[in-house]
Amino acid sequence: MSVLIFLENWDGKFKKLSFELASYGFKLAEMLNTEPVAITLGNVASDELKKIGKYGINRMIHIQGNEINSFDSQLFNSIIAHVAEKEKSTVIILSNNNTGKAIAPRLSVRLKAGLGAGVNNLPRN
Amino acid sequence: MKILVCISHVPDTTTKIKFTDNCTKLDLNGIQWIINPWDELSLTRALELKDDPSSGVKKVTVAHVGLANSEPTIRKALAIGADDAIRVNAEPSDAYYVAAQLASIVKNEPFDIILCGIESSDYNGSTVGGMLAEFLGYPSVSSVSALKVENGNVLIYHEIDGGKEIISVPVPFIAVVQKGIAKEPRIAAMRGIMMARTKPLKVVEAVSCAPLTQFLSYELPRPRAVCKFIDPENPGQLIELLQNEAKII
Repeated sequence: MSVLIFLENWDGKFKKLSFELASYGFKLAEMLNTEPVAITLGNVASDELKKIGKYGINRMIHIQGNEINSFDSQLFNSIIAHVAEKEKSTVIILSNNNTGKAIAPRLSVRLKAGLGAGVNNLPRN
Repeated sequence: MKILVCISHVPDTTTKIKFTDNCTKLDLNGIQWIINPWDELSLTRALELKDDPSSGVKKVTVAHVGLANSEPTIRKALAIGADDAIRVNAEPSDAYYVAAQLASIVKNEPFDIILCGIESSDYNGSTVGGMLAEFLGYPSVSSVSALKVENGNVLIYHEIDGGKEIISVPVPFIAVVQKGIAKEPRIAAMRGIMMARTKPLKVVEAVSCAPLTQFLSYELPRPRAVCKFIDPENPGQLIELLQNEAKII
């Protein structure tokens, strides 16, 4: 069981948004008594990956390859869905930006998982 | 080339929203219903393409998931210029359910370009277009701000963080459109309104699909607090308020 956090990177760098998601995922995993796991796709230097650890994330899945250097919602969806199944994720967290809005609906259908859009708080219970 | 425009039936954007049944249902009294503004812009762009003979677009169909009370909204889309319409006769319970119904329409009658507004102005979910693409296994492009057909090739202007990219997409595909797709929504002319009465509006029954989410209750945003003005000569008062009232320092 896990909470999977998709962390987008911009030319190999994380932004404030990435750290907010990591922090949110960590708190949610704590509430659910499960493990937060982050995933990022594309070339990211190890120093940059380590920054996520400051937000309570001890495990990061980093996938690289020429095919994922540019964004493709179908491909990104397939990869994240595969990892979510492997990690037995009960919640997947994505940002509410263009990338998240392109992937999350596809993931919802692929995994037959309910989608909450524009979430701005932790669950009440 | 055929274009399908998916439309939502939403409360007018000036509606004063109220809830009933202990905040579990929207109070429908007095609501004026309109085509979702983003969908109306999608329809406008689809019709602009149809008006241009070089685009190869021959037909524009609108699709909607909703009960019979949404038919005036669909007729408005026909009055604006859509050739025909399909209504899935069902309560649109959640985005997954709506996308499943729209996918069923496309499986029965294929379209080359499917346009969805980036979000509906009621739930602001931004989800149906992407879900529909996944149901159909079609490529999709989100945040589309322009769509052109040049020499049979479809070019899409896609907003990305910090910029814009132009991409070519093979049909069939789904475009989730946003600001910029059309300058202003097209207004129905009297002739269009008269013609809309006789244009085909096919009603189909829903396919079996269980929604994945359920709305438990709604809350209105908190009213804005009254603004307090502090004399610039009295910074102590500001500190006192931040410490004891706002409790942020």
